[in-house]
Amino acid sequence: MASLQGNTTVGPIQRAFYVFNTTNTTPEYIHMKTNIRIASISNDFLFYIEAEGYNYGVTLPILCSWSGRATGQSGGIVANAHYGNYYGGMTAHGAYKSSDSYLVLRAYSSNHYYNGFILNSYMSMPTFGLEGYAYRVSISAAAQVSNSGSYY
Amino acid sequence: MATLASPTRIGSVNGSSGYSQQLNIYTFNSSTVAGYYNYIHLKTNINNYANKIIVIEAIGYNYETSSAIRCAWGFYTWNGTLYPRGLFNKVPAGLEAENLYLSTDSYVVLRARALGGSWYCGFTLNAYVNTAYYTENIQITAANRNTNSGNYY
Repeated sequence: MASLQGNTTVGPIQRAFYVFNTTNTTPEYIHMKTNIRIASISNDFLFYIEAEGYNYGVTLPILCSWSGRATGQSGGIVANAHYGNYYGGMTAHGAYKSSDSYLVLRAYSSNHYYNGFILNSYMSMPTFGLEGYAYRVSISAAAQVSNSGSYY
Repeated sequence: MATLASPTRIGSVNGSSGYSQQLNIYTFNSSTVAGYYNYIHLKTNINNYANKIIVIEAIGYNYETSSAIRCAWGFYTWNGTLYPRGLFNKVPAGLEAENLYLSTDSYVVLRARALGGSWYCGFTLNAYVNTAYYTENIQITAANRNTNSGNYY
C-alpha cells in the first residue's frame, strides 16, 4: 500500500494540490488565489481546475470545475471561461485577475457548514504562451467572504 | 508532494497484473486548424476477445468552444463483440464521448466529437476497470483528429 502526500502529480495531472475546509455556514463565497500569473503578454495559460469533496451543509458531494484562458494580453483577463457544476455541493462561481495579476477562483454555496474539498488540476492543453502544459498550480491564499466579485 | 510516472496505476487485486485505476494513460492536445476537425479517434490496445469491463474518461478543456471536457466511454468486449455500455457527457460542448467501434484489426476505438471545433483542445485519459476480468494495462496505440464521423482505424 502506498500513502501519497497531497499534490501528487502524474504528467499534466495534479491531485489534491490544495485542501480547503470550513465549519462556517457563511459567508457564501470562497476565493482561492493561484500562482497563475497574468501580468504580461507572455503569460498565457489554458487551465482546467476542479474541486472534489463534500459539503455537509447542503448534503451533497462536490465536483465543479473552472476552465478557460488566463492571459496577460488585454491588460490581463480570464477569457473563454467555463464553470462546470456537476454534483451540486458547491458552485464554480467565477474567476478573475487579482490586483497583483494572478488568477483567482471563486466558489459559492448557500451553506458551507462542514464543507471540505480538494483541488485537482488537469493542465493537459497546449499553450499560447511560454507556460501552460503541465504547469504546477498552487494556491497562495484563500478566504471565505461575502464578496461575490473580486476580493484579492 | 509526490511525482509519479505516467501512467500511474493503482489498485492491483490479489496479485493480478491489472489495476483498477490507471491515471494519464494518454494526453491528447492540438493547437492547429480551427473550426474544421470535429472528430478524434483514439485506438486502444483492447481487442474484441479481451473480455474486459472498462470505463475511460477524458478531462480537460476546449478553447475553441470555451468549454470544459468531462466525458467517458463505458464498454466491454466479449467473444469477438464490442458492447458499448454507456456514454457519459457532462459538457457536450467541450467534447462528446460519441461512440465506440472496432478497428479493422479488431481493437476498440473511442470516437470523440467536438462539434464546435477542437482548436487548442487538450485532455487527459484515465481508465477504470473491473479487475475481476482484467489482467493487462490499457494503452492508446494511435490517435487521429479528423473529419471522419465513421470508422477511421
